[in-house]
Amino acid sequence: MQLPDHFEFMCPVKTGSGSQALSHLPSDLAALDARKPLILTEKKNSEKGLVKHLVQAFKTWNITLGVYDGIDDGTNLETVKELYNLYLDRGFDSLIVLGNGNVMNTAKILNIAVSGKPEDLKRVKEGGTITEPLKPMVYIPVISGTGTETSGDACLDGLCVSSTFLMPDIVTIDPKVLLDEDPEKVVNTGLAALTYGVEAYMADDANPVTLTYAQLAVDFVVNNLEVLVRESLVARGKVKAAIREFQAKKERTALVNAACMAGYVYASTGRGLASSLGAHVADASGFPKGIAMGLLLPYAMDVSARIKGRDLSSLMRPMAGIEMFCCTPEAQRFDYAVNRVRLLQNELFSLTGGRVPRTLEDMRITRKTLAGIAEKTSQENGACDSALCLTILEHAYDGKPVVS
Amino acid sequence: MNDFKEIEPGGRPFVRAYLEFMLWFVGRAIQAASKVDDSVRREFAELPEGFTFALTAAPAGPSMVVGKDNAGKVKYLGRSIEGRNLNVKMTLKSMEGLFQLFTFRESTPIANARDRLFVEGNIPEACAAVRILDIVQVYLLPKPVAKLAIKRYPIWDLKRHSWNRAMVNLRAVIGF
Repeated sequence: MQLPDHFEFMCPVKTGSGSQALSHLPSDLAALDARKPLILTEKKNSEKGLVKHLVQAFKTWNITLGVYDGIDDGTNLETVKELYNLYLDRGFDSLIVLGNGNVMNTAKILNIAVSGKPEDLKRVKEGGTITEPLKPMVYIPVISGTGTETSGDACLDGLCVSSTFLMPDIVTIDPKVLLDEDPEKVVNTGLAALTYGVEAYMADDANPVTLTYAQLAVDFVVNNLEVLVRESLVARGKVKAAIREFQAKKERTALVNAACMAGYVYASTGRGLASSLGAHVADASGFPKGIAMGLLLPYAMDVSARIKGRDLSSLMRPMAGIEMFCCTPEAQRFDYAVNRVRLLQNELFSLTGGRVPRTLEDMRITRKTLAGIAEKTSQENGACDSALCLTILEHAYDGKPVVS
Repeated sequence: MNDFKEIEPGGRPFVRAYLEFMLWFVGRAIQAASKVDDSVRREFAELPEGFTFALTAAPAGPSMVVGKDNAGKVKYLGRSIEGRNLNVKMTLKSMEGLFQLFTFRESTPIANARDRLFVEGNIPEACAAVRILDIVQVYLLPKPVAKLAIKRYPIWDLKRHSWNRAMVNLRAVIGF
């Protein structure tokens, strides 16, 4: 890409990834002057033993950990109020989030309250901004996620906030806590990360730094998601399963890295066509947001390249590798990239027995609702033209590529 | 708040005991190697008088302190870093990191590359300390294990491999 005349990029997150990454956490927290963290998680993560792994990392540190594992889909601002009282009464000074979207949203909202006054939440709800850094927050991802956990966005119980100060201070990706998950959830994470990564290439405010992160996110998803889902569905004996688990840990780590990087990209570029439409399609269909966004992604790519005239040929490089990229004529590179995304979706549809849809028709959305979704998206995101949104939705309904 | 609990993570007494023994033995072996091995002697000769270095794990050890007195004699100074004026302090971010190092699952350069340790002090002196540790590990460990612990296994003559090795081990055991 050409170097823009001016650009800004901010990612205040320290990312640690790989074997024994959790063992670095206590010293990283100590560097932030945090001595008594409160761990927020879901019951299922406690039951799977993930909290045990985390506690293990704090051995010898003479630190008392608070663990709250009651976060679920019903968590609301009342829960945040209770957690606020707990946080202050017990003298906690930082938050550790072990989990995905819902837990992270709760933690971000709680962090606004505990870092200042509880009235700050009300002020933020009325349109006020966060003006000062919040208490230290650590994010430890599990395999399923939404791709926006590491961004500055939080939405809980109708309260939606966006600020750079909501980005976690530390992200620790340890294969120990990346256990096997339902393929649909894995696909949701992967497609959400892929969407935010690809949308960075389509964004008007893209810059060389965001594209570096985006390129890695796209690379990790395209080269790991399909194989991870395929292999997780193969029945194996105990020994072969243990050998496979070793390889799967690497693929899961790559996928979660992609999701975290997608969050950093999302924080600096914002929503594109596929993610804006995807949110409404998910609401209308009941499918997870990542899957809906991923389904719309190739059509949004078509519109961006073939109608808006944006050059997306460089997307081929993370998908195909540098050698294939170099030996492909420039005019064919975009076709390769968009077809690679379509191929990935078709493979996932086949592997999951149709649980990951290829078209909006597979999602059981009626054609009549498309105009409404397009209109709603256009109203919400001024950058999305209603006619273009409808074009994307209609083509995605039939699975028909958009041509110029 | 039925879903809330407080947890005291506790310690790792067996790991600590193992590491304390290993550090004690390596410390004494450095002292022995400074008398037996020319390379170690040369490394210490380049270091300033009164030089002291420590290898430890955050937050509270175990630790090993080795120093050179004003007469140029190298001594294992014990396992406490409290109150010592250290020239170089190499700290592993966790006891687990030190355990990985001393169970030879990770070499010092790999641990450094993986951001598991931080060094306080001058870099050239820290590099000298790492080179000394590497030589001592070659003396103490059988070749297949030493290969895991250091970056490159050195090519030594027979005397160094046999006589010097025996002397370093013997002196480390008797503390002389």
